[in-house]
Amino acid sequence: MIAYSPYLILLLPLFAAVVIRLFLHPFPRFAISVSTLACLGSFIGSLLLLFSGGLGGTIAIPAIPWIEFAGLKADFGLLMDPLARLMATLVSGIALLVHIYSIGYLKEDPHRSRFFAELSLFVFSMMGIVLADNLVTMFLFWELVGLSSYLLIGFWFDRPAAGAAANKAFLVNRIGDFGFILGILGVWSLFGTISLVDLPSSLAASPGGWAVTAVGLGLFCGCLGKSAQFPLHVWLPDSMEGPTPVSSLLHAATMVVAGVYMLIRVLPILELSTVTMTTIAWVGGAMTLLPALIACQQNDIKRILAYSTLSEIAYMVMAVGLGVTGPAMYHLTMHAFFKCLLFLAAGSVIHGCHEVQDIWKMGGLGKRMPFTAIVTGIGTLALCGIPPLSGFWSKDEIFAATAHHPALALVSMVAGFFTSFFMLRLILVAFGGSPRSEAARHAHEGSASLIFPMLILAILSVAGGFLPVNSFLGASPEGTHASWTLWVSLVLALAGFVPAFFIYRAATRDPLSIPILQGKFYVDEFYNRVLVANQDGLGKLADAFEGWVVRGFLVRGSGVVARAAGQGLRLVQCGQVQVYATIFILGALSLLWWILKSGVR
Amino acid sequence: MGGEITLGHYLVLSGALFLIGLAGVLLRRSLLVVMMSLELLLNAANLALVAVGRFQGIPDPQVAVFFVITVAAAEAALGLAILVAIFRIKKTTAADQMASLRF
Repeated sequence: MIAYSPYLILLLPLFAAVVIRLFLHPFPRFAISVSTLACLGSFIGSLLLLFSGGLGGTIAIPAIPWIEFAGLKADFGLLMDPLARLMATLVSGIALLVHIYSIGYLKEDPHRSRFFAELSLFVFSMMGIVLADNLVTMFLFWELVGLSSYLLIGFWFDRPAAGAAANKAFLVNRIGDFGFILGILGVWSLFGTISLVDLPSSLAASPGGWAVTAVGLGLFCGCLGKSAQFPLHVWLPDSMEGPTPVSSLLHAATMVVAGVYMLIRVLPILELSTVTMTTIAWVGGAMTLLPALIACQQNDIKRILAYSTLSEIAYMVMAVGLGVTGPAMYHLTMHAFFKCLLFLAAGSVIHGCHEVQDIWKMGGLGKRMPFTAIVTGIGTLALCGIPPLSGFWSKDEIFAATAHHPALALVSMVAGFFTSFFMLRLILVAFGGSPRSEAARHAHEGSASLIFPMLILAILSVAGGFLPVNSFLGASPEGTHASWTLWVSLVLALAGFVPAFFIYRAATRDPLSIPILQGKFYVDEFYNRVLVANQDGLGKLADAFEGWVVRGFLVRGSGVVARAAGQGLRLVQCGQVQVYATIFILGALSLLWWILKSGVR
Repeated sequence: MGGEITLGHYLVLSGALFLIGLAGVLLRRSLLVVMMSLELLLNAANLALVAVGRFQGIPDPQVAVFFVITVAAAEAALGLAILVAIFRIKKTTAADQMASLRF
């Protein structure tokens, strides 16, 4: 049985979710303890596994037979290669910190039992994606993650915006998942296996051509949905309607990078087609810049960070598209640290200002919330890739990979410029100057459960670059470092601070007003006009068909016929027993006549 | 015209009785008369049975008649009881007044 013990890191959070849902709903204190302890157990287990079995080795874990028919064999197993172990540790570790943060953040919420149950469900699902050893189980957990994301975005379901955002996230993800499942089916039919372990060795029989490209693009479609890349990025900014710990854990640090993780897993398939790889690289490249531009004109503190998340994930996607998974995974890890930190700091600000999210209604928070201000600064420097903070090391590796693709290098470095710009804007407006609302005037730091996770993450954001992360990622392309990318990206990142400083140093309202950026390039409007309008038309048509033909003609029509027949026939029931007897006699006579007539012949 | 009475005479008499009874059942208003007419129907059938048995020289129809008489007696007792019960409620025995079960 000891061989199966690694399953515990997967099953503990599920156990917690079930127990809370079934028994502990009325006892939030116990629910929180169970959920947090389960997450702690998962984290310790992941940590033990991370350092056992050697840095480069894969730990073999017996699989549980699951699906087996006609050429499809999907066992329920765990893939414990270094990549999975690193990711599992990252997920459970960040989740643990967010659990602790949530204890303080949701102290007053009457439904916090439900919140922690859903959080545990998410940890279970996410660990499932990370540890899945074949594409079918991965897809299963992929959907579970979508479900927990839906539940958590809509946690405050009494707010209409939260409900709408949850629906939007779920529906947009459906589109990506549809492509993903088509991709999985394609992999099965082309290569005859869905196991991630056997996949690289079975690619030799690849037929090549457009089929492989289609399969690769299908799998990438899954990434587009979950990792919120263009054109399916519209759900992520809206998902900020959920509680801030959720934004931090799901929509910044872990869940949204599942798409990148999946791409790294199936990279051997993607690499079979240059078209696929080029598409991925350019979608990633374009998505580094566009959200960074949009973020420059947003006023909601969480939405600014959400757009920055889109941009950072795009760096990872671009790196995968360039075929360098090491830097992508490295940036994923570092990003988890500093973006989780930034969101938790934003949560601390929102908590301190009593649910104010507009940065123009804040101001002067640096004096009232010095700790939050400092960690936000640390997170910003890490995000902008200023040495020697964590973001610098991972971004540098990604920029180095673009050295031979000047166009991509230029786009992504300009994105770095704007990232610095909007982050400094956020800090100057929210933390600098003087308070611009009553809430900001009475802002205060939160309790220790809010401070502690931010402290840990701040340390990781500063020192993350010195963690031996790369040793788990196999050979990273050391030596290919082109120094020009380093200097250009650094200069651009630093240059981004300059205009922000001069524009927003003493601003009390936004001196810039760029409608197209405020309107987020009108992608939502485009979808509403074109897609949603057409859908509505189709829906109305179907409704009319249902109302007039099905309900009106078939259902109600047959009812009318039956009623009319009944109305006619009941006239016979006159209640006169002698009339009945007459009819009976007439019947008997006609029967007799009929018998005699046929009997003569 | 021979004086002998044949099976045909009996059957004609039986048919005449049956028609009279039928007319009584269908046309008379008083339920008491309707029930008497019902008895007439049964006895018309009895007459036909007895006559056929006698002329064919077989006893079976005559046995059947005993059963019919028994059943008719029971039917009369039951029917009259129902009639009395209906009269107590409706204060009438007219058949066309018994139309509670119409649409």
